Amino acid sequence: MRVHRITVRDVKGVRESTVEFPEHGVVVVEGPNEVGKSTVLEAFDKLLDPRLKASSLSKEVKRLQPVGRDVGPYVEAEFTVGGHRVRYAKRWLRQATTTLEILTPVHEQLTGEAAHARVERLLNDSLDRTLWGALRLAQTGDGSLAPLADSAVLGAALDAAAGSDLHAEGGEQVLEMVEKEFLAYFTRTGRPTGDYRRAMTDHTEAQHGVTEAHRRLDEAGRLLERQQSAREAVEAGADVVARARTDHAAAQAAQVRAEALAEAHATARALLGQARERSRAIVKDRRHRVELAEQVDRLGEETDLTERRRAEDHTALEQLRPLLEQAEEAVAEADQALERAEDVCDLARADVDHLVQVDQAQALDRLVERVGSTVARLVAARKAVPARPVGAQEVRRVRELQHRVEVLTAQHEAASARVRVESLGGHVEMARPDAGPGATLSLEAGEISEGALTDEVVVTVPGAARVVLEPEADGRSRREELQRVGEQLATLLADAGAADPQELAATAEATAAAQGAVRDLTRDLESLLAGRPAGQLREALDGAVPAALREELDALLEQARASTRHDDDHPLPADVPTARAVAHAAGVDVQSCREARRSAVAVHRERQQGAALLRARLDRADGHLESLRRQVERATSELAEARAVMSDGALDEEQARRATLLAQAEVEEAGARRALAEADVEGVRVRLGEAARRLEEAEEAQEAATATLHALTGQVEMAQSEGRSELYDLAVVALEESERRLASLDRRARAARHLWRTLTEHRDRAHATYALPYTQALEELGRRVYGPGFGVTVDDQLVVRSRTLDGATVPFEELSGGAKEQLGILARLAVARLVDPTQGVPVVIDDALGYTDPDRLVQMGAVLGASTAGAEVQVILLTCTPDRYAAVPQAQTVRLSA
Amino acid sequence: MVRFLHTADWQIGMTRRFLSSEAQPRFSQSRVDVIRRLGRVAQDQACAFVVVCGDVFESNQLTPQTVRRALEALRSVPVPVYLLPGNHDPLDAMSVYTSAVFREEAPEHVHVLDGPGPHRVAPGVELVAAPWGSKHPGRDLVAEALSVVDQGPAPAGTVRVVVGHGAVDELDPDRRNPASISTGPLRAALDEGQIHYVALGDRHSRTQVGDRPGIHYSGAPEATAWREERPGDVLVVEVEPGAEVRVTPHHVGTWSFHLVQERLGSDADLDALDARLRALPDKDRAVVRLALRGELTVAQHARLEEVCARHRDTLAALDQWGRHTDLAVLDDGTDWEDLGLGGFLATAVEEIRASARPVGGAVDEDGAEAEAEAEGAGLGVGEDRPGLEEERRGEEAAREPFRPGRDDDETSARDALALLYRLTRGGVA
Repeated sequence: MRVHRITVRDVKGVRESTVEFPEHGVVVVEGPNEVGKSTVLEAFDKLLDPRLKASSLSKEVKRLQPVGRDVGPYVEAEFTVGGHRVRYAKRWLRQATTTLEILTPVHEQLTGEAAHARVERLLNDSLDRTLWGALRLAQTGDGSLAPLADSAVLGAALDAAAGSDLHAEGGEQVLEMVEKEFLAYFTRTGRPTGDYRRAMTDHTEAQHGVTEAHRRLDEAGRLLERQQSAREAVEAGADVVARARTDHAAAQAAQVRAEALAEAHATARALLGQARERSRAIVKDRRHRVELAEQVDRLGEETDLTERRRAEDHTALEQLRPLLEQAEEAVAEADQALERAEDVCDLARADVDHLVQVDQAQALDRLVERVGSTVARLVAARKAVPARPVGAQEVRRVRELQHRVEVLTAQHEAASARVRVESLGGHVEMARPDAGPGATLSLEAGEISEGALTDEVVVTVPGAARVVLEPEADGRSRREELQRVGEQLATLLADAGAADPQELAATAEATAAAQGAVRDLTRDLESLLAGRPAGQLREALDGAVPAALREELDALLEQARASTRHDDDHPLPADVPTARAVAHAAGVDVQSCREARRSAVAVHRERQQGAALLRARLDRADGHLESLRRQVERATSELAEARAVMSDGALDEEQARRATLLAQAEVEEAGARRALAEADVEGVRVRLGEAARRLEEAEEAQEAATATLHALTGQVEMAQSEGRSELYDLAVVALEESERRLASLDRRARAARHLWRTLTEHRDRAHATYALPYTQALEELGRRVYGPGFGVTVDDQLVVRSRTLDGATVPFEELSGGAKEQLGILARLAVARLVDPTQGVPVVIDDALGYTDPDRLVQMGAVLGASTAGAEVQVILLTCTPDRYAAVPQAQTVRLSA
Repeated sequence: MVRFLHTADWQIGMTRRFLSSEAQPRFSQSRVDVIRRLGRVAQDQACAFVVVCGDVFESNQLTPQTVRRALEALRSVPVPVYLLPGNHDPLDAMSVYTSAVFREEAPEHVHVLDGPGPHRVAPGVELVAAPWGSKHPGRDLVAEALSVVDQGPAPAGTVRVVVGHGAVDELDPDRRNPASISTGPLRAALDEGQIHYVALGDRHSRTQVGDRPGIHYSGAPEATAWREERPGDVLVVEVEPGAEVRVTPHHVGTWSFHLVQERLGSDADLDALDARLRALPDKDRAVVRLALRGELTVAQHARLEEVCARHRDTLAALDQWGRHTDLAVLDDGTDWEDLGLGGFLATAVEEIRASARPVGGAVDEDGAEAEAEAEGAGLGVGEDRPGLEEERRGEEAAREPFRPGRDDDETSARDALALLYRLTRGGVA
């Protein structure tokens, strides 16, 4: 497409403006801001937009209307597209019109819808809109190029430049369809999806279904086999039970026979036992008769003996009675004597206690007295300690200092010059500072003052002379030393509160004496109160007699007073030892009384026991005699009764008869026993038990086998009723179907995948091939601006990814705004140069290169010029800055003004 | 004279793996519906009873629903029905005939021939039954049943019909099969007048054994596989002792199996195939197996796919017989030239074509072939041999599962080309 002229009227802020464009080469449209440079292009876009018919009331159209003016925006353009040169105009909103005039190759004039449709057809056939959009660098853009890979015109151009035919008409469209097909089966990452994925899941489930159905069918088959074995087991078991029953019946018959023999033997044994019993009974009767007669005789003898012994014991008891009474009296007497002795002893012991208490009270009283006097002395001694105690140390120090003063004074005087003033007649005044400040000495005639010159001496003879005598320099230092020591001494004394060393010595002596007395008295108190609570000592040292001591004394005195008795018959012993002797004698007396009582009691007890023994023997003898009499009576009557029943002779005869019967019974029992032994009863019993056990086992086994068979039959019926075979067949049918469906989908899916992968791969490869001539064209232009170190990388979508300049590679996004813009212009120029001029579109650069430095601007200008020179490229540069593109050679300039 | 209806091999509860889950219920329902139709034939032809010679049920382990539906259909048959247990429904411990549903719900006029030997079913009519007690009897059950019948010609006024199931020796490819039915003694018994007709089941093809009438397979009343001959019939049998037996087939079946064998090489061949398929009657009960050979261009191949897809929607089933399919897709590039694909599309097509070597069987590769082969083995002879069913089931459970999403190969390449062809044929801008 080539634009020749654009006229706008009543569009946005522009009342009317016409821009003429040269056939090719660079045209610079120049004008101040807001004059409508961009508006002209925008209006041209709207004119070509197939959606915006003249009748359109869309927002986009309304945006073209000038603010506040109710007029119809009008755009007219003359351009060549697809070999047709046309003049096309539209007015929207007010008096909407569309007019088209085709100028070449065949003149034609159309209006309204027809005009619109004709232009749309022309543009669809011949305008590459991808390129149209891509080759414009708008004010707002950053220079990056829209992906160019979809541009058919560019594709064809690049194919041509690459010397290949990789560009396919509609290739992208086919790829899009294939991709759509691919995405029906797979996600972009190649995982199955949608129906395909569901078919896989269904198929897996159907497989599980078949496996499970087969398992159940198998199970049914096994059940059937087990049931068959169980049935066979039951049949075999029935035979075993029948055999066991026969054996058991035979054993039972044998048992019945053996039982009859056992019974016969039992009867014989019973008869034998009876005979034995009767024989034994008659023997026993006879023995009893003899024993009874003997018993009657023996009982008579025992009665006589017992009566004799009883008479002896009675006599002995009568003799013992007076002796027992004597012993009782002796015990009573001993009791009285003991009581008396104990009273005497108690009294003596109380006296001892009382006297001891009195002694203790006296001792404590003495202690209180001594403590009291010691405490008083301690208080006095403490008071005697001087208010400011002086120690021997201090005294020694003072003495040393005093001695040093004396020595220093003597030394000073000895070393000083001596002065001798003598008044010869008049009055002489002499001032001596050493004698005190302002101390003066007046000498009258003949008076002499003599001394060592230790200080300055001023001698004044009134009206005549004043003599100043100064001691030598050494004398001054000695004096100062003397003065310092003297001051130390004075300080020490003042500190000790003593007027002079003598007083200090006296105070020191007093201090020592008082402190010695305090120490002695403290030791005294410690020894007095040793063994008593420590609090009492502290109290005493604090200067008081301990209160506890006094309380203790008062308590003792009270006790002593309370234990005092008044008994004139027994006077209180003189002292404690005497009292203790009396108490001891009383104790001895009590001891002997107790001894005498014990002897009396022993005699009494012995006699008592003797009497009791005799009485008991008498009682027993009486009882025994009574019993004997009854026994005699009973035995005698029993014997008489027995003889009445059977006389002794008859008894002997009966015994002989029963012995014969017993012998017969023994013979019979032995016969029966032999017969039984021969019958092997135990063997028969064991055999029967064995047969019964076998029968029971066989029956139990049979029951178990029958139960198993029943259970299995139940399971078989259950399995049968489920129709497992049919369910299995149905599962297989379902699996088949799901597999058919999956296989069918799988074929389609794999076909789509195969195709999509291959096409994508080839498309990418084709793009990569395109990229090469494009890269070369771009680099060629770039080197004119930046020099030979310029390079770019372009991806297969023809997007510039990075720029290299003198070895430094920078990604496109990280380039500066200016650099991006420059690169954008170069890229557009490169594209424009590559495409077929008849199919190309104008390169439009809207207000760019604002950030480009002057040198670079010149180079860009040269590139703009060079890239258009000789090429049929139309480049439209919009700018508000005059001379920005001054460096573009052969540029035509169109100026717009408001 | 006695007239009765001879049928067999109802195979109620049978499934077919080439059927979709939509067609299978129709197939199952037809096997029940045909009972009502043959009942009407029995009524119309004044048959005294119906005898079903084994394999009434596809298996002993059927769902109660399936059994009930069959019993319900049997209720509509107006004459007594005698069912013989066959190898599919033997009288074993799990027999469908002893199941609670059958015991409790079978109509009174339905009887099971559950003991070997003569059953007096009407005055002067004896059925000599040879029921199967297990899947593998290992002996000639018919001979055994006949051995308990009184020797010599039947008493006057008594018609004896032998009712058996299994392959007869002269048609059994397995010469050593101990369970084969010996035809020699049967023929002798027929000649002697000891018996008057031998009604057999097992073969799904209606067959007269030998030259003379007397020993017959009725065939299945509804077809079950491709190679069955004359399936879908029942036999009305008229027996008059002393006269030759009269056997009249009546068609009751609704399903058909078609093996379409064609050589394809041109658009006209495709037209013919399309027309042939379109002409099939009762398409929803027609099962078609294609055995196509020849060479097709990419465009023709694409069209074949389209034709198959279209008919697959109306037919009960349409699949390929793998062994007999040999279709080559000729790709000399002219089809692609016609499409005028250029640029990277052209190079991509070249690459895919290079990996798509033309091979046969490219139309459809559904997994039904294995079964087709398995069924083929049984056709034309006995319906199946002992143990086949169990073997088949074991294999099904253990077979290698289908693996989707395999890497690109010739098949995917061919399909990719077909897809591209389909997408671009509409014209590319």
